[in-house]
Amino acid sequence: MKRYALVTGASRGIGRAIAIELAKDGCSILLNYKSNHAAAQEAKRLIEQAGGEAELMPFDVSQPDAINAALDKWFAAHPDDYIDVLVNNAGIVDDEIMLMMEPEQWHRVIDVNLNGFFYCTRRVIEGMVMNHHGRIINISSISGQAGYPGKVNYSAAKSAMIGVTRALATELAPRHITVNAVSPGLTETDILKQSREYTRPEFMDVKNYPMRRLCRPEEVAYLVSFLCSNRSDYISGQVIGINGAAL
Amino acid sequence: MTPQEIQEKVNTFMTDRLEYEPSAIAPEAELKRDLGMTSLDAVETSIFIKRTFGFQPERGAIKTLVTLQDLYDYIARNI
Repeated sequence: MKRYALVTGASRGIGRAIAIELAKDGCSILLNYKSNHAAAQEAKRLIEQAGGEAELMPFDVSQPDAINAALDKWFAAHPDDYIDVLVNNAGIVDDEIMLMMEPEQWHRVIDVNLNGFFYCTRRVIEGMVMNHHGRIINISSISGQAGYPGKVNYSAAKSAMIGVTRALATELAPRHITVNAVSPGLTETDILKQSREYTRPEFMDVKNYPMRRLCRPEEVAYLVSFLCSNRSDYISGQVIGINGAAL
Repeated sequence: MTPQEIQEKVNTFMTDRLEYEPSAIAPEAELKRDLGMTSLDAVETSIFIKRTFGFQPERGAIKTLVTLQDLYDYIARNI
């Protein structure tokens, strides 16, 4: 039986690295992205180049109707299968100091980074519950654990990912479904270039970090791979930082 | 489907999937008090009914049933 893994926001950055790593582990990847079709195609190509398989599943994680439409179609085509791995990775930044932040900036970041978790997970866990197995990985952030200026919306969403991880882990433990959060430090991705930190020398000067470098997407993927393996059956409700001792 | 068939399918689900003690399975057994049915068990039972008997129980319906016999009867009425 194939093991299916849905990775949201998998066309670039951390999501893409996770999708490639899980494909190497033998998962068939449901590669979610919102609109960057070229990047998604490239991610699919990289997965196939690594010997894995992937199908593209475009939808906006903040739109429950779009999620349900995509997954209804998938479940109809796969009546005997379920999604055993869900990686809630899709995220955006829209940084601004609180005094200047518009309500739309607040809501948009919460909608994608937090509500997206709810909509996707709510739709996928039925199969895990019925099969008494599953892995849910929520991508949090060092911004959800430490405070940085200009990121009130992002920090709110990412710290909430820690709360939902701990609560959901206790709910699903009786069905042998583990729920964990991975919390990367500043990572070399496109989203970093949209972040306020990117314009601030104190954040971008690697000499300010204990390991003198930023996190690499692949390093997050290795951790997710382990948490999705059968070696991590008893690890649940945890928040694992990957930040080179920066926190 | 006969009442006997409904009972057999439900009992198998209770012991094999929800891992209830076979010795506790009896029509008069109370779902919560005797079998230890949790909220998650009730949701899984609801999904089991949808997949096995072809109808979707109303939200929260399973939690209103008291005994296993109530569950058999509920399925028989709605099938």
